[in-house]
Amino acid sequence: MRILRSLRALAGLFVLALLYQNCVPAAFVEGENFASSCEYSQNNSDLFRLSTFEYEQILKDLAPDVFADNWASDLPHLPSVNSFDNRVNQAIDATMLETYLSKAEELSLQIMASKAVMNNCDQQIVSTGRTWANCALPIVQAVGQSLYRRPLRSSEVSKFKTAFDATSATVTEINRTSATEVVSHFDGVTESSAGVIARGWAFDPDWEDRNVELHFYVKPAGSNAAQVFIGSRIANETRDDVNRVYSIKGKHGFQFLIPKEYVNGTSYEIYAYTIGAGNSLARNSPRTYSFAAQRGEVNYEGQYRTGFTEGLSQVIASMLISPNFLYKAEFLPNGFLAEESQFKKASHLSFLIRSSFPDEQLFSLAKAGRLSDDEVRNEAKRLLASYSSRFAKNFAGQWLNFRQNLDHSDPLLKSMAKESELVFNEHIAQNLNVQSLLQPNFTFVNSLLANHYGEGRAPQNSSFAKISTNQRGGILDQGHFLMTTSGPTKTNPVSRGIWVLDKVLCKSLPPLTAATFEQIDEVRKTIDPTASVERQMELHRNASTTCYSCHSHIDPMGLPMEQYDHTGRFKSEWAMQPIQYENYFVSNTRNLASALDKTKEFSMCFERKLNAYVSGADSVGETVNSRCDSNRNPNGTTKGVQDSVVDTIFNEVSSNGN
Amino acid sequence: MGIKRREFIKLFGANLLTPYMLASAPWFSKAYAATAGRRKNFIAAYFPNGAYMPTDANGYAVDGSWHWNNSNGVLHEFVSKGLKNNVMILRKLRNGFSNRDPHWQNVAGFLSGKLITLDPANPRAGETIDQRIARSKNTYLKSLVIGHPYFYDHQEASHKAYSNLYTNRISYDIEGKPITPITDPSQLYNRLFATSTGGANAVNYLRSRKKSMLDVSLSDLNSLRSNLGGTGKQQLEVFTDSLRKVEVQLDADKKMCTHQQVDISQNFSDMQQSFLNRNNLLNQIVSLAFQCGLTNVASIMYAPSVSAGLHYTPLIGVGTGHHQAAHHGYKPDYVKRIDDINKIYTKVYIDLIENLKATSVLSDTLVLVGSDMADGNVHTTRNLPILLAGQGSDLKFGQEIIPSAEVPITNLHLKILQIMGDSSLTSMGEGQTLSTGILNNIQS
Repeated sequence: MRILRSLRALAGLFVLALLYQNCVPAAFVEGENFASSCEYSQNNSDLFRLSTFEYEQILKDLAPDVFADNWASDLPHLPSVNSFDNRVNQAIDATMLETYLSKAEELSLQIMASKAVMNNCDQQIVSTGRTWANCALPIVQAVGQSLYRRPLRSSEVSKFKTAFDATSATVTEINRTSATEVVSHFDGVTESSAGVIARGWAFDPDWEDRNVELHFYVKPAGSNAAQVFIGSRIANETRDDVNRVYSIKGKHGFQFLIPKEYVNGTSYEIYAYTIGAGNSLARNSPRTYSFAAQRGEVNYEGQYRTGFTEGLSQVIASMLISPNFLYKAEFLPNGFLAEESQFKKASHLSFLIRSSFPDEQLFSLAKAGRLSDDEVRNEAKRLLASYSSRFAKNFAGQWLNFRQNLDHSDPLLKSMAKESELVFNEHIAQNLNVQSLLQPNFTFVNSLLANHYGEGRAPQNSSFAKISTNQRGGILDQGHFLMTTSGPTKTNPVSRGIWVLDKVLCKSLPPLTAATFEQIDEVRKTIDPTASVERQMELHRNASTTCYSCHSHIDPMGLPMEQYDHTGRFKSEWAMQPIQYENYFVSNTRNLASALDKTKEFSMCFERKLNAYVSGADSVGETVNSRCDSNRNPNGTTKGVQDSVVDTIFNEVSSNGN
Repeated sequence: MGIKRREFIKLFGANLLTPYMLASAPWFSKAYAATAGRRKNFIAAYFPNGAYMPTDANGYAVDGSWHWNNSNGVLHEFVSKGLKNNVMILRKLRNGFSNRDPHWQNVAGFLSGKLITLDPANPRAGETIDQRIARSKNTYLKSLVIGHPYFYDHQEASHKAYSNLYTNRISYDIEGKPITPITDPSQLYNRLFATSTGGANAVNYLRSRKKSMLDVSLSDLNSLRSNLGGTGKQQLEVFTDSLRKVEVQLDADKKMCTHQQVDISQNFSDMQQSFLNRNNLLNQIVSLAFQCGLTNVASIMYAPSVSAGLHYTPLIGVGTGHHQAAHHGYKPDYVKRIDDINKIYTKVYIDLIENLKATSVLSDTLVLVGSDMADGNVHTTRNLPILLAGQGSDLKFGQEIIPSAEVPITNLHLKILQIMGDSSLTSMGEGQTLSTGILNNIQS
């Protein structure tokens, strides 16, 4: 999946560059449907999908002990609109729903592996019973509040109870009657940074596409004391080795975190029982640990899975395919009930900043009815300070295309994406003004980046440190942009120019047609391929007035970046003849950034991108030769990045019918 | 059922259905009964970026490498594999709309000849022929809409208003709404065949559990709909419809059809490495679905339009991605690259034909293979690379069909509809892609 994502990032840029790399002849045709880009502003009555990024953040926040920071759901890809995927109204058709459903069944069990979610209900002694009232209800309410972003309504609670009861009752009737026992193995007990963990695997050969539940018991080693139930776990973790040996599919591994009270230096025997006919003790069970001595088998509780597990996982899975989860009704004025308006306001605010449900403080304020306009503004500031990295990833990461490379397998590209995130983050934290994004005079590097860039003041490890520099850190100088707009062996000034037009100036080029391609082909033949890049670009630009009409915009944005090579390294020998942009002549990223500062183009564009993210306004608004964005602020913004974000989000949330 | 499905498959292994088994599945024999003189199954198979078909002075693409005459032709393997008589080449077909980039407009219009309605709130194009044919069928699944996991995401601003959706879809329903393709072979397989291995009680239990979840979702949806009072109407209607469709699929008894064993456990996470294996598996599953009469229609997008990030390195060595190779600029290494890529696709079509043969459904099936553009270098849409495949003397397989003049591709679509038993349409498409007649010389 990471490979796919990074390919997307690179591919999009190459394509247009390829199209335009010679010239765009023919009075460029304003496609009849693109004559005015402004008409594509979104309708504010649209119902927007939960984006895949948001889906992932919500599960991380709900069960942080299960879903790691770089957890990726492999859920269906949503197209982005106006560069962002958080305001996409695409309908959920049957294929998508089917995917969400199968994912929901899998994820509900993972959620139930979270101690944060289970609230000790995974450790309650089975004999006293884990009932709807004592265990399921509080979990359903807590999970429901996170997934629906508001307290569950009483009608919803009743509905879930009915489903839970029916399934809990049914499950005992479908317990396996097959003579074949679950195949299992208790690998042992090991210590890790998370604590002392019991590991193994179990599967039902008659029903391998389901996951077996295990219960764990301990008693002091060698004693005759009764075994004490210490918790349960579903065997649903990847164990390719087991699948290979037994030629089975699915995920059948388990890891069980032993409660701390049983990690006290005493030697214990731990018994792992699989739940099903025959109450089998897992092979190689029990294991003994002190911690650390061990020996160890898994046994059966008489049911395939407990009714509790089946019932609760079913309820959680149904929430995961509910429109209350998969659509963001809180973005609409009447999305929640009138009496839930405080929660609507809280959730809308929370989504825009931390791409997830409200945190505890925000929920409490909503519950107390204290989200006045002043409080919304205060909370926006607080959330932005607490979750600036989340905001930087989802807003700046999509705007500047680095979000998908933050977990890239190539350490250099990953580090460059992180550099872009940290620079933006610093602008929020310090409330630096928007123009500073072009020339911050600082950046963040780890040892890999410092060596790559040739910045000597490097940290000696993988952590990032802020350094002062006037050649790095600005949007035009960031390694991520410079490298992802280049080919594998050389730069592509056209690709870079188009990227800057879109991301920094909010301008687009008109689409190319078959006829223009044919003309491009003709022009291509007249250019000497051995000439310098600068010279080739000049020849393209001046081949005809129509060529000039696009390249006079592209080239001043792309050529100055030639001072960096295809991996973003500074080329000290680079020099070029200044090229005109508006009333300025530019020859490197420094004077291009200064010119963009003076024309206000960048600060106007920043506001537009921010509005696109927050309220769905058009993020481009104009083609290079037509202006139709009557709403833009002609002076650009002179605000700090933090103020600008807070103001924009506050305006959106407070005006949304609350 | 006394015998578990796995054992059942092992027992019969790679054998086809026996008469006894057919008789034991009445719905099967009904669905499978051949209709005389009319092809029952239809497949539309799409490949991106055209082929090396250089343009002449009039902007018309010549045949270039899209031929089977000798080993230089990207279709030559049909001949060397002895499959020439299962394929016909169609020439002089055109697609295209002024001022619309083929990479998204003509992909969306490839099977309909219709313009996209550029409305982000309601993306749509025209109903495609695969879906029109599917509407007339009464099968367990209306159709199989299949895609590739690589979602080509165009980042740049000039491609707004859901162009990304269009470049990744070829099927549109009767209302012109895009249909999300299935990209995971195991999901496709499970939709058609899979049941749990846990026996009848377990199957019933899992089904009722899923239905209960769908019921909860529907109940939530109804309350949300009443809160919103009309807002988001379209999305909620589609959601309701999806809940219903998924539930119907749960109710269908998939266990009745026994078929060749299929290995769906392969790892396809590296899309470069697995390109051929993945598409071959999809071909196999589609063929089995036809054999079992579970559906009569499939549309397969072997890769999305543009596919800039697909470079096929494990198959043809290191080189440029598909899109860059398609913009060959007549450079010999790029021309070779795009030819090599098209030869990979030829292997995929051959695999499809062989699978349809192996399941004895090729003579009942009509396969349309094609791209939305002729030569990717200049995005020309005149003289598209189009094939029809099948078996039987009713159609002129083994030939090149060369109309006397250029014709809109919708002429072919009308002919396909007629072959599939639908003669009710006299015209389809619009603008330059409006039909002007029917390609009669396809039939004997």
